[in-house]
Amino acid sequence: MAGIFHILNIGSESLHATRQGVDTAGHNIANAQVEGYSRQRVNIAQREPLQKNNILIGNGVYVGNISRSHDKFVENQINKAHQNLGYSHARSESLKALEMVYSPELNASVADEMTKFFNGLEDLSNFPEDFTVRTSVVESGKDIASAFRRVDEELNINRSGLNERVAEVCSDVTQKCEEIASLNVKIQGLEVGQGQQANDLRDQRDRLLRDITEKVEVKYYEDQHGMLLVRGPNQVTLVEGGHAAKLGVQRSHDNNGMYDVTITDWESHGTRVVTDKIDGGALQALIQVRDKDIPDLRGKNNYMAQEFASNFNQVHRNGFGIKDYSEKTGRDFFAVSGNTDLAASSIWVDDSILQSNDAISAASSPMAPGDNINVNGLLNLKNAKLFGNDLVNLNEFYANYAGALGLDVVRASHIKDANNIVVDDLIARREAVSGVSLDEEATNMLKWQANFTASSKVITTADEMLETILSLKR
Amino acid sequence: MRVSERMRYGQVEKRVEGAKDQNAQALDRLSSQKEIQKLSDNPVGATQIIRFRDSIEDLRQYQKNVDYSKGYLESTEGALSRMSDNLIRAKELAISMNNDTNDSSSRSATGREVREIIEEIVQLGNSQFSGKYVFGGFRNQTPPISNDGDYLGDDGAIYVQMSPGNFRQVNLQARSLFESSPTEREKGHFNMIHSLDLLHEGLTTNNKDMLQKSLSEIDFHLDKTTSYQATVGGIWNAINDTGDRLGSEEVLQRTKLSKVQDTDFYDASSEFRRTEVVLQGTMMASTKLLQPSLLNFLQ
Repeated sequence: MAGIFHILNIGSESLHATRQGVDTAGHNIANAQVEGYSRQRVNIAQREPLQKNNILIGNGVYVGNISRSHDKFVENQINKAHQNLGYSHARSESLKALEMVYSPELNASVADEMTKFFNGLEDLSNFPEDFTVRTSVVESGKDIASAFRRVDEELNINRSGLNERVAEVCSDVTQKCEEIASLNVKIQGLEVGQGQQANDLRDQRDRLLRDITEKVEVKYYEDQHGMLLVRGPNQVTLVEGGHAAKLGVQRSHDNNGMYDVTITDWESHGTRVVTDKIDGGALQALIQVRDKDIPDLRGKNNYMAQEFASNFNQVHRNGFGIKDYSEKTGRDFFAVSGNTDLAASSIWVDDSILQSNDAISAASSPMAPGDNINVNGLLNLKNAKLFGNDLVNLNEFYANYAGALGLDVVRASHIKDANNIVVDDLIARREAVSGVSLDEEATNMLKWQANFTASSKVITTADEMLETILSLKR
Repeated sequence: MRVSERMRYGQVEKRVEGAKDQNAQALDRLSSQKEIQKLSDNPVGATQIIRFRDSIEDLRQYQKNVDYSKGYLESTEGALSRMSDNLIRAKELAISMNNDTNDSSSRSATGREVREIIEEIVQLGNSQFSGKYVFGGFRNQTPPISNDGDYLGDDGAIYVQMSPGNFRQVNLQARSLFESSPTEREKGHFNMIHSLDLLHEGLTTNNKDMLQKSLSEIDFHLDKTTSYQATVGGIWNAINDTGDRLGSEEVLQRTKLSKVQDTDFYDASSEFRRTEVVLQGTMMASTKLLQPSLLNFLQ
C-alpha cells in the first residue's frame, strides 16, 4: 500500500493537470479571433500503475502533451484552392482596371470621337469653303488622334502598374519564404527529441504557406525533422530547412524593360529566370495580363489607328485645298508612324494641315472652292469595311474588340466567384475543426475548475490524514 | 458541425456585406438611371450602345444635311421662279410691242423696262445661299453670270450625303440654262441674256423682225426654266421624304438605345426596396445571432 505522500502526489499532479486545462482554455479564448489559429487541447493520461504486494495501484494523472486540432487534408485542399483563387482574383481585378479605358460612359472614346470627326466632315462637305468648318475639322482630327493616344497611354500606365505589382508580389513571397525558413529552425529546435508539437509556431507557418500559395504556384512537404520544404515555379526549391531562396525581378531586355521573375538560391547565388514557367497564383495572372492581354489590346488600338490614318490619307492625297493650296495636291491629313506598334502613340494631324486649314483637300479638281467630291470620298470611309479582314467598319471593329474585353472581364469575375465559394467552403470546414468556440471553452473551464476544486480537496484530505497520524503519537 | 466563433462572425460579416453590396448596386442603378456603366455589366449591350450612339449621331447629321440641301434647293427654286416671272413679263412685253399700234417712242420706253428685267435676271443668276453662288457649280465663290450674260461657273455637281453610301445632287448644273449648247446654237438659239438683249435692241431700234425672233427665243428659255423648276421641285420632294424617314429612324434608334441603356424605373425602385429590406433583415438577425453565449449565463 502506498503512503499518504502518494496521495499528496496524486493531488498535486491532478492540480497541475487541471490548472493546465484552464490555462489552455484561456489560451484558446484569447486566440479565438486570430486567423489561422488552431484550437489546442490538453491530452491527459493515466500514469503507469504502481505494483505493490501484487496489487496494481493507480498512480494519478499526467499531462501527456498539448495538441492542436488540425486537419492536414483540408489544409492542403485550401492551399490548392487558394492557388486558383489567387489567379482568378488577380486576373479579374487587373482586367477590371482595363475596362474603364473603354467605358461606354466615356464621351471621348475612340468611337465617339470618330463619329464626331466624320460629322465634322459632313459639314465640310456642305461648306467646303468655310473657314470655321475647316477649323473644326482640324480640331476634331486632333480629338480623334488624342483618343487613340489616350487608349494607348492608359493601357501603358496599367501595364507598368501591373509590372510594379509583379515586383511587389515577388518581394512579398521572398519575405514569407524567409519567415518560413526561420520558423523551420525554431520548430525543429523546440520539437527535437521531446515528441512535442510547437502548435503556435506551426499555425504561423501554415498561415505563411497559405499566403504564398495565393501568390505563386508551390509544392511542399514536411521532412522527418518537421521542417517544411517548399518548391516554387519550375520545381526550384524556395525553402529548405533554414534556407530560403530569393524570388526577385530584373528588367528584361526584349520586353520593353518589363520585369522578369528570377529565383536566386542561397548557395551558389545563381539566378534563373522563371517568367515563362510560372503556373498558377496571382503572379501568373499578373504576368499574363501584362504580357498578353494588354499587348493584344494595344495591338488592336494601333492597328485601328494605322488602318484609319493610312486609308484616310490615301483618299486625302487625291484632293486639292483652297486658296494657296487650290492647285496643290498629294498631302496627308494624319501624320502617323510607319511602324504599326507606334501608330496610336504617334498619330497626329499632319503639319501642313496644322499650318493652314486651307490645306484640307476637299476638292477633287484644282481651283474649285465649292468642290466636295473628295470629302464625299472621305465620308465613304466611315462605313467602308476596311477592318478585320475587310469584314467590319471602323465603329464595328472598335465595338467588337471593346465588347470582347467586356466578356473577358465577365468570365474572369465568374471564375473568381466560383473559386471564392470553394475557398469559403473549405475555410468553413477548417474552422469547424480548428476554430475556437467560446461555449465549448466555457464548458471546459467549468469542467477543469470543478476538477481543480476536487483535486485540492484530495490534498486537504491527505493533509488531515497526516495530521491524524501525527496526533497518534501524543 | 462545430460552430466556432470565427465562423459565426465571418458568416455575419459575409451576409451583411453581400446584402450591402446588392443594396448599393440597386441604388447605383436607380440614381444613375443607367443599366450599363461598365463593359462587364453587359458586354453585348455595351457594344450595342456604341453602335446605336454612332448611328443616332449619323442620323442627326444626315438630317442636318437634309435641311441644308432643302435650303439650297429652295433658294435655287426661288431664283428660278422669279426668273420665269421675269421671262413671262418680257414675253408679254414682246407680244404687246409686236402690235403695229405701237410707235417707236413707246417701244423704246418699253426697252428701258426690258433692260431692268435683264439686270434682274443677271442678279437672280447670281443668287447666293449662305455665301455661295447656287448656279456656279464648284466655282461658287465668284458670280457665275457676267453683266454681259456669259456663264462663268463650271459644271461641278455638288452631292450631299443622305445615308451611308447614298449621296444626292443638290445643285443644278446651270451652264445649259444660261448658255446655249453647240447644237442649240446650230439651230439658231442664243444665250438667255442675249435673247433678252435681242428684245431690247429690237425695241430701241424699232426693228419688228428682231422682236419676232426674240419672242420665240424667250419662249424657248421660258420652257427651259420651267423644266429646271420641275427638276428642282422633284429633288426637293425626294429629299424631304428622306428627311422624314431619317427623323422616324432616329426615334426608332433612340428607343432601342434607351431599352439597352436606361434603367426601368419601376423595376429598379422595387429592386432597391427589396434589397433594403434584405439588408435590414440581415442586420436584425445578425444581432440576434451574435448575442447568446454560454458565458452570459455563467455566474
